Amino acid sequence: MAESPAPLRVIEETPAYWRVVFDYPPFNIVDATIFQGLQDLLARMDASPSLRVVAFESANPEFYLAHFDLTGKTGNITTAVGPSGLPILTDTFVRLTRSPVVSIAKIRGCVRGASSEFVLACDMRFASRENTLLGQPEVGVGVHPGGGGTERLPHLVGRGRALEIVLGANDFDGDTAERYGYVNRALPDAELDAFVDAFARRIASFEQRAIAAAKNLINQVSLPSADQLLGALNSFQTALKWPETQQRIQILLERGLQRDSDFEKQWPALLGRLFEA
Amino acid sequence: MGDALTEALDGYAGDPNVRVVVVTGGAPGYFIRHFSITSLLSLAESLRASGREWPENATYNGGFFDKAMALCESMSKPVIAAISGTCLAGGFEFVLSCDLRIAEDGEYLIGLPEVNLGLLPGAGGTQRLPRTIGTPAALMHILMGDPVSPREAARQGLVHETVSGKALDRAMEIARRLSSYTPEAVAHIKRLVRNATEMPLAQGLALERSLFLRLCISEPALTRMRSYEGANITSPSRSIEVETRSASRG
Repeated sequence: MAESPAPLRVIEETPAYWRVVFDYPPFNIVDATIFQGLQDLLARMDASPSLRVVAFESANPEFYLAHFDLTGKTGNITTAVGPSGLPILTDTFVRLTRSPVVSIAKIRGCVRGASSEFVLACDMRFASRENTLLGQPEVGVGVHPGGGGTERLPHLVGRGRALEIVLGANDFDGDTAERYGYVNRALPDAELDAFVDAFARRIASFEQRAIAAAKNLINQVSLPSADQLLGALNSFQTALKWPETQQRIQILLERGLQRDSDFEKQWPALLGRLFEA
Repeated sequence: MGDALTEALDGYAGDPNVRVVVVTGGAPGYFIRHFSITSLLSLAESLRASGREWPENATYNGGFFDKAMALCESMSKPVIAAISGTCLAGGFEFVLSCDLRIAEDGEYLIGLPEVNLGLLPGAGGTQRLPRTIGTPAALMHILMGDPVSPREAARQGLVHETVSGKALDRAMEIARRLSSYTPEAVAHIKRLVRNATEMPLAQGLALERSLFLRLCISEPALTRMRSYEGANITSPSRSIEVETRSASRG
């Protein structure tokens, strides 16, 4: 209906259940525009008296959300603060975890780095068995996760597997992600939509106060502290400036990161041979 | 502990790197309990033996506790009390001198029970509570001498918020937010609001206008105003598109 489509589409299936569709061509790269959409969405969620469940999906079956932008389009998301007093990036994820509204990630395609951290900030993750590539490739780029991955993963998958995911810096398919607890379930692609929709509608039929109180109790025993999250983001920003990191980013961009669809699909697998011609 | 508190607050007040001060309790279950009744009793007995008298217009030479409270009120940065447990009598009088009071939910009490011992709140309670919740509510609270639960304290305005998590986490969240603002704006706001009830209206309005204009031409404010339109990530925009389907679905 307008010349430039919005990067996030909110489909209010019912007053209690919204679907949010990421649609930010070409690859749903996570930059300031995506965070602005998420901030506006959070404000809308906070203002809704009847909302119980939000399910996040992508309009692009190959990329759920690609990864953190490495070309300087991240604006002020690590410097300006949001309503929680934390930088926008951390604020967005923290407010999603603390919201009385239940968040579900319905995953198809590539989900790496900050995008993996987004789905980890969602309350639950359901992934396509055939079509999921999930990972934290940061260490292979010379940095480390800075948006909560190192804080949230150990709780979900345990220390050993968290270290495997973060230090191995490679992609995980739906089945492995499910076995590790990285996602709640991997479902056959043909069944994913119906499963998530039915599950979301079931929760949306329950009482708001019961949902909010239960989530709050689980939050109290499972969420990382704001200081830990802030420490990770600060350390990430320092690491981004290391010369060896800059060199790795440069090579990745030259090879086609954020430009070439084929490269964008498989780059974490190539990180171990980055300096080979 | 009173001396150490005064000393620490004095240090923070003068340190330009400190932007916000958060005070909390170190012992599990307590914020600051109250003045020890045993030491108060022996003090009372020796004062009585000395035959000293206290005329109504006497000027009082502030002790360490009064100095700590005066510092909380006068320093140019916000002081937040993160009430982590029992906060009675002197403990509550102290938090009344702080700018913001955040309590955590729990089985403990907040308030001024002094009347039960034939006493009155002697460290500012009768003066600061009316300025906090109004004269009628303060009279009820201090006369009855019934401290309240943290939830009730938030309802009555004795504290700003009672949170279900840790008071310290919420206090740090507020502190981080306040420290992202310019220290000049924060300091002027604290000074103006703190003085609003102590100063004639015309004088307060004049001071407000002067400080507003001074901030207006300051470099940090100019920078923030210039970058507001372009960079404010939460400014209204078409970053999301909304479609409602409720009617079409059973």
